[in-house]
Parts: sequence; C-alpha cells; structure tokens
Amino acid sequence: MRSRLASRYPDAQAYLFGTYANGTWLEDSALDILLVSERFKGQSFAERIAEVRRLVPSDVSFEILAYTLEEFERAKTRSVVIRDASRYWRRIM
Amino acid sequence: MRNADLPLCLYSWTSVSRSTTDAQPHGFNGSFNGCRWHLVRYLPKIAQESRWLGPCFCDGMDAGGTATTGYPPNRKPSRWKHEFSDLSREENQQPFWRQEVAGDSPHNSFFSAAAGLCTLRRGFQGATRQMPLMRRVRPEALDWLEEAKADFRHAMEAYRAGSDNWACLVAEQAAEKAIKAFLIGVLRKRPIHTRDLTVLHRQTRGRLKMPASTTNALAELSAYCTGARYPNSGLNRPSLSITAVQAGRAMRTARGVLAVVKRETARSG
Repeated sequence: MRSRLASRYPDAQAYLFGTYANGTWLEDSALDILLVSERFKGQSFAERIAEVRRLVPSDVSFEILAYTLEEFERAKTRSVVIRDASRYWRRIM
Repeated sequence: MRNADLPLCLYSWTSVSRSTTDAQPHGFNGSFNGCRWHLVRYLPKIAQESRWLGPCFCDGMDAGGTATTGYPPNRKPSRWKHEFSDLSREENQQPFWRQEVAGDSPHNSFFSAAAGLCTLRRGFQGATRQMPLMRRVRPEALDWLEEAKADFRHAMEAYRAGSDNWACLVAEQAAEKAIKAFLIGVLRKRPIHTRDLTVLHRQTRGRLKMPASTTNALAELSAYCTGARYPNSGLNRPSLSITAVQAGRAMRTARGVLAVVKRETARSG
C-alpha cells in the first residue's frame, strides 16, 4: 500500500490515526489515514478520496483525509479531528 | 419409501458417523416398509468404511472423488440421495459383508430395535434433511432494499431542490443499503460493519455485477458519507463546496447500484 501511495504521490506525508494508531481498534474498525500532497490541488475532496481509495486494499475499510500542504496546516488549527489526532498519530510515509 | 422412515440413527448410535442418511446403503438397505429393518452383519467393517462417509455428508450432495473405493459407480455416496428409491434393486450388487442378514439372528433383532427407537426420536429431523432447501428472501433484506429506494427518492428530491451535498449524502446511503440488501437477500451473508462501499462491494465477491463505471465510482460516492456532512473533513462547508456535477455523478452511481440490486433480488425470488 505504501509503495503504491508513494509512487502516485511522491511528495506525500501519510499519517495513521484513529483506533489503529491508539490501539483501541476492533476487528471491523476502519483504518484512518491522512495523506498530504500537493498533487491534490484542483481536485474536489471526494475525488481525492476516491483516488486514494483505489490505491489501498479493497478488503479493509478506510477513512481517508486528503489535503494539500496549505490545507493541512489550516486543518491542524481548525479541525478538531486533526488537532486530536496530531497528539498520537503515527507517520507512516 | 417414506422419508420419515429412513433408518437414520444406526450410525449415530454406533458413533461411527454423523452421516446417517449417507450411511444408509452401507448399514442397511432402504427396502423396508414401516418398521421392518434389514441390518448387515459386519458392523466393524461398516465403521471402518464410514471414515469416508463423513465428508460426503458434510459436503451435502457432493462427496468428492475419493469416496467410491470398492463401490459400483452408481452407488457413489454423492448420488445416493438421488437414487435412494433404487436401492432395493441394487442390493445384490453389494459385497458379501454388506448383504442384509436374513432371518431372525440376534444381530437383526437387537439392532432393529435400537435403530427403530432412534428413528422414532430423530425421524422428523431426518425427514427434513431429505427436503430440498427452501429459499426465501429474508424480510430484513427487503427492509434494506425499501430503505435504499426511499433514500434514493430523498436524494432525487434534494438534487432537484439544489441541495447538492444532501443529494450526495443520501445517494451514498441508498447505495450502501442496496448493497447490504443484496448481501443479505441474495448472497445470504451478514454485511461487514462498515460504510465503505468498496469493502461492501468486495464482500459480494463479484456477484453484484455492475458496469465498470459504476464500480469505479463507488469510492467517490463513499467519500460523501462524511465529506457531504461535516465542514471540517473537507475544510469547506459541504453545502457550498459540493457541486451539481458531483451530485449528478453520485445520483447516477446510486441509481446504477440500486437497479442491479433490484433486478438481482427479484431474480432470487
């Protein structure tokens, strides 16, 4: 998964957050990943997620957030989800 | 031949196999009437043979290729249920130790009594095993499908009213519920606890055949489950950022999913 993401988004930062990052996952929990890349510029939020979704395994549930660098900086202050996640997330790429 | 009279329990009783119905031709033949039983003489030999009777029971009607050693081709366990009525005509083809015991030997009377008691206890159960599986669509599946249709109607109203983000959200709901209806009603599976349409579609293992364009669009439609509701995930207010073009795509995808599920559900009865 990482290699596919890296080949499509060479500049990407990827973070794992949510239950898999803090250890409280259940079997059917979704993998929460946050991807930051300049390649998302010009795409709608849904289009970005759809593009990333096609690169990751289809047998696992994913909750995907995809931002450009500028949006990511904004999200760290504005989004409660991102602010909380930034306390424990794991950088995976 | 009466189904309820099948001598079901001898093998259970001798603890050699759960395969009571499949064990039938080897334990005793099927040419009995009412309570008249015919037993074979060599139970240990049957027990030895019954090692391979288990799989053919577990697999239902298909015993696989290895279960026929020593048996005429037309007595394969996999075919036995179909040919049960012919057993009496075939009994002379059996090896000597499978021939029925004639007369009033102690074996015969003892095992007849035991098997008869067991049959009384489990006869009904055995009779149901002989019935073809009844297949009806679960009401729960129809509930999911009806809710999917209702959601799609709401999505259409929202789309016409210009609430594009709401149309996207409800279209996602319609597709999600339709796939779950398909999983429950047609594939008889419990849907995975997820809202990820890609995962749900994968759970159908290719049985939900949709155009490639619809399948590819599931990932985008799935994104609206959160993105069309919350202003913080996409960092924009969904009611302002989601366009009519996106809503149109979402509607087409949901309609495609729903159409296939409706057709398949109707086909499955």
